Amino acid sequence: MENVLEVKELCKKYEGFELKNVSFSIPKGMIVGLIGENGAGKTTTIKALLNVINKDKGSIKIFNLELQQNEKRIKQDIGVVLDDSFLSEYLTPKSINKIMKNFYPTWDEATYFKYLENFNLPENKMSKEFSSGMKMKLKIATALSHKPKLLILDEPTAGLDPVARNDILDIFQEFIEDGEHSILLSSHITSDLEHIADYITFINNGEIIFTKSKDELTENFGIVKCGEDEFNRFYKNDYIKYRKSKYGYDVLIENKVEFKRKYDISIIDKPTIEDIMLIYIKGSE
Amino acid sequence: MNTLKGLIVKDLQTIKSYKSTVIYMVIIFVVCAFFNKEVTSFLPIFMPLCFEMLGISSFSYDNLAKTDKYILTFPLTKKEIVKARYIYILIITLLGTLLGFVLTVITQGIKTSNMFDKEFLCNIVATIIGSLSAILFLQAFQIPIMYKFGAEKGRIIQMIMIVALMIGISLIVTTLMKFFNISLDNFIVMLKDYIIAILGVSVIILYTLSFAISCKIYEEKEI
Repeated sequence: MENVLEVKELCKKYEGFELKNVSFSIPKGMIVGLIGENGAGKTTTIKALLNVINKDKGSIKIFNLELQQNEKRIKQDIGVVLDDSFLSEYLTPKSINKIMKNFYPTWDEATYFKYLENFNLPENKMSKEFSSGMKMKLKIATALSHKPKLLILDEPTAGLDPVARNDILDIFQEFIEDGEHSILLSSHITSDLEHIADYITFINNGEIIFTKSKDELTENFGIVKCGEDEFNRFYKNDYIKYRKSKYGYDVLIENKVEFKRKYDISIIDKPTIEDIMLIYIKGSE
Repeated sequence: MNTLKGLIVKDLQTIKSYKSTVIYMVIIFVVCAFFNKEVTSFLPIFMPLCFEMLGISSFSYDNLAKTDKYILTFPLTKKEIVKARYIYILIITLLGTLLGFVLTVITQGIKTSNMFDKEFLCNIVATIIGSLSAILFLQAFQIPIMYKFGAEKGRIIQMIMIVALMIGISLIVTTLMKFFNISLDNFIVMLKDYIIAILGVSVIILYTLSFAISCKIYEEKEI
């Protein structure tokens, strides 16, 4: 499968935090969800992918081109939505059009105003008067109107109500429908990714824990809920991690079928991405 | 070229939302100038100064919306961002200067019905050259400070810098005067013929240096 983005061994060191050999890729036409708790390194990774921060080591290839040498060319085809950063809130959507058309030769005014209309965003109102959902929709309209091939979104659904979140996820689905467009979406709201992501890349403490297809995670992974006696039967190599609570053990396993056969267990729960993330972060080996 | 235009349009569009504040400010200034005896010096000094401050405030708007981080995801270089900011602040300052000149002439016209008096016009031009040079001189220090320390800290540091510069310059001038044993009047007379050339060259050198320093600071800055 063709990749639109390939990150290899990316390192960036700050005082008190470090991205350690981050490697992952985004296949063409897919949505990759970057998950991890706050401070895990999602935003730092995204900032490095966009060359907003200087990486210490590693290679970043986007559209088969080295980012460092082809930054301007690559960025023409990327649309970005950042959770905490945009143009001034004293600007109206109309004035944003006047600004943005200078940066992208492919900027399409008609598409932009169509998005504004579809999202019910008033053209002449300053965005500071918008609700959080409207502000996010404005950011997305702005990111989509130069017809990018890749969308990079940092926490696009944080702080939104379920209806607005659903609307936004629909927009992303529509964007990748033709198989030519791809999305990297970082979020700590894992249920959003369960809806739309094809692949999940899990980052914790600056390190990539895994990249797996969502179906593999939800179909093959499992959680065994058991007591201490039963838990003691399990070989360490047969499970990933476990969490002990006052009601018993939650054991995360990677191959449900194999585990069922080996230990003759009838019920293995289907985990949510949140369950997997929690046991990985909080659990013991 | 379009990138620079885009960045300048971004700043101009942002400041447009403050247009009513700017209009009130201009009206108050004109009223003050009208009742001021020194018509020739009031507006040509304060108008460009206020517009300059308006230009510098673009750092604050960007800081408020964390725009820098977002802008850096566009197909552009950090050097272009710095260049556009210099051009924008220069445009705003020159706009203030032009407005100061025109409004002074009109105010004088209303007060004395002698708008185009040669001596009066010469006085305004001389004041404008002086004030504009001082402002540009100041700007050359202000902008790198803003890039280095950010809009919030930068504002305090630039105040300290202005006072330090004034003390520094007056110390240099008095030392020079003492060294050559001349009075202030003589010193001014001595410089009279070369003053425009001296000011022009100093501003160009300072501005070029300032731009290079700002670029370096911004290139190395982690946003």
